[in-house]
Amino acid sequence: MSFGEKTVLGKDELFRILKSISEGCEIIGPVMEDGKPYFRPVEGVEDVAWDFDTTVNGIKEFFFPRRSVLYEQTNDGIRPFDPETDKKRIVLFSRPCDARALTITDRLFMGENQDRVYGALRANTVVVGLSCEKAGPHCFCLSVGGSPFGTEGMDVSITAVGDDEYVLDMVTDRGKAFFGNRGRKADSKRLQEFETLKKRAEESVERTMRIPKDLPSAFESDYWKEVSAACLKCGVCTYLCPTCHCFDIVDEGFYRVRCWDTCSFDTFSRMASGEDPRKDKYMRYRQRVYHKFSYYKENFGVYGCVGCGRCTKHCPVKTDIVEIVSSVDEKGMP
Amino acid sequence: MIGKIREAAKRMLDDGTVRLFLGYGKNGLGDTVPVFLKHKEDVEALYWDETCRYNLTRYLTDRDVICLEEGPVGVIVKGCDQKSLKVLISEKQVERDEIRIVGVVCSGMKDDNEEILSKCGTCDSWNPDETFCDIVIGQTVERKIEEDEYSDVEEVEALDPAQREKLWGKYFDRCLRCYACRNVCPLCYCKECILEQNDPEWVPPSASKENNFYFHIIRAYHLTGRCTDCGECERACPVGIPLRTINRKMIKAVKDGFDFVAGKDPEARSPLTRFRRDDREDFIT
Repeated sequence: MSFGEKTVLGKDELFRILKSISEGCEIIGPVMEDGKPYFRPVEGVEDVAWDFDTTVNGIKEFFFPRRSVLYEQTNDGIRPFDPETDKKRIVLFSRPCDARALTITDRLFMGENQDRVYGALRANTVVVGLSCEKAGPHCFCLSVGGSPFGTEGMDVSITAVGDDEYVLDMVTDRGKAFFGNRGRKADSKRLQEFETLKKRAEESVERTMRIPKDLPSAFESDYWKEVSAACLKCGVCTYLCPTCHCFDIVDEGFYRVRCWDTCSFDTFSRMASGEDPRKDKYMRYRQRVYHKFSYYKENFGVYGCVGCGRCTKHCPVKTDIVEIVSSVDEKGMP
Repeated sequence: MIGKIREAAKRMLDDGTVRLFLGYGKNGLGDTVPVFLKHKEDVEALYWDETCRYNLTRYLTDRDVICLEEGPVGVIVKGCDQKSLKVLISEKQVERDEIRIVGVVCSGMKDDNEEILSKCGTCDSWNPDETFCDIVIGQTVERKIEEDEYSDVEEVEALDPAQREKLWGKYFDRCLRCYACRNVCPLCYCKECILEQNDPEWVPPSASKENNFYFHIIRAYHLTGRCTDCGECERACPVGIPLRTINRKMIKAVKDGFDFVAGKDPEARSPLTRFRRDDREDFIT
């Protein structure tokens, strides 16, 4: 079997394989909690949902935890606190957008200076992805370089092709090493079907974000005041965003801890002197948009957005970043 | 109804009664959003339907968008929102003459799944108070008010401490500390919240089950005797923590202990902010 070669498996067989390869691993997968889907550590493969809408959280928190201890004060001085790197983990059924988000945050955390915690968690985790048969009402992955059938960031991609059959695609060596040679080679009929489903899934993405070519020119516009007026300055959009990665470092007792932080918060850019370069709400909202669609692109060559639509879906006042970014050219230029 | 709302907003913006009008509009996806209108020509953007869930009084103390000293602001309130406004006035955060209140009769709001919100079931204020609002729009709704039995609270009270810890542990473990509950709350207006103070750092900012317990207990206590159960915190929570049950536990405690319900009278002071010679002291040993 060579790379790019797809194999086909029945559901029962796939289930058995997933069960055997995840033996001894910590398993993370989609589960229903009080009626909503979340990614959570689970006991076994049988607990994982196979059909689910966009989960509330992505898989970000398993690589960039909400709280990670960086250092510990001991009797012998300060000691770096290492995550359990020997523990193998497997993420089951990551959606293409969430897996792709890892490749975006990798550029920051695994670049010149590798982040100890993130790097260790990335190294010990295999990501098994599941293609989206149909996009949700808030999805716009195609506009930012993703696809409902995308495989970026996955080690193995799984796609349901009807009749309880699944197409397996080994994306990386690691995925191949983990899965081994499984299933039978997909025949041309199955491959045809795969392409048809892919086309159908891509056509189901209803939303389009038009990213302005020249965002920096709109920086001083009053547009940002208007579009951010209703913003509550909470962290829903950024904390559920699979690519947002801002953090704060605080001391908690004997531990130095890294925790999530967000540009939405009033205190995000406030300095010890009380001076704040982004003191108003609109400045911070603008920062969120620019970081994603201008600075990140400039620094790392990709947008800091995968088009999952969680920010719009879960915003308590329905601030719609797709509409806001798409209308910059029309309404936001000074 | 929407015609009358637009007409009222237009008149106020036109004759200068208000310089800004807060209402409900729609975004491109068709979702309801709060809108801030400055010109009478903009009133067509106003909408009214059963998805106008937001409590707009929250914005009256948001200095990023409204500085009340710059001139009066018009605001649409439902019966439930009006209670928050009364507390804001009683706590001197908003002066009555700084605002123009457009009360709108509401017959229950619906969530994204088109189900009526749980808070609307036991609501006792579908008709805004005509003596408090400047205008009330809509036909008075006649309806039998269901007695609020606090059955959600009693269900939790019936659990033993270990079961309660397990229940809330499950919910607080999920909390992301996004502070949507605090930020959407009309009564969480403190310029500097205890959660942001870092010298000393009263509440550890990182999200862990234990830290989240501190946070939610503090939130509950700071709203005791003030919360009017508008339910915005629970609606805003992205991870489905039943915050109303916590708030309602405190509402019930204040009602039972002090015979006080917040949000009825803009002159009234909450029992925890005042002293009276006949205050109960039987719990002091």
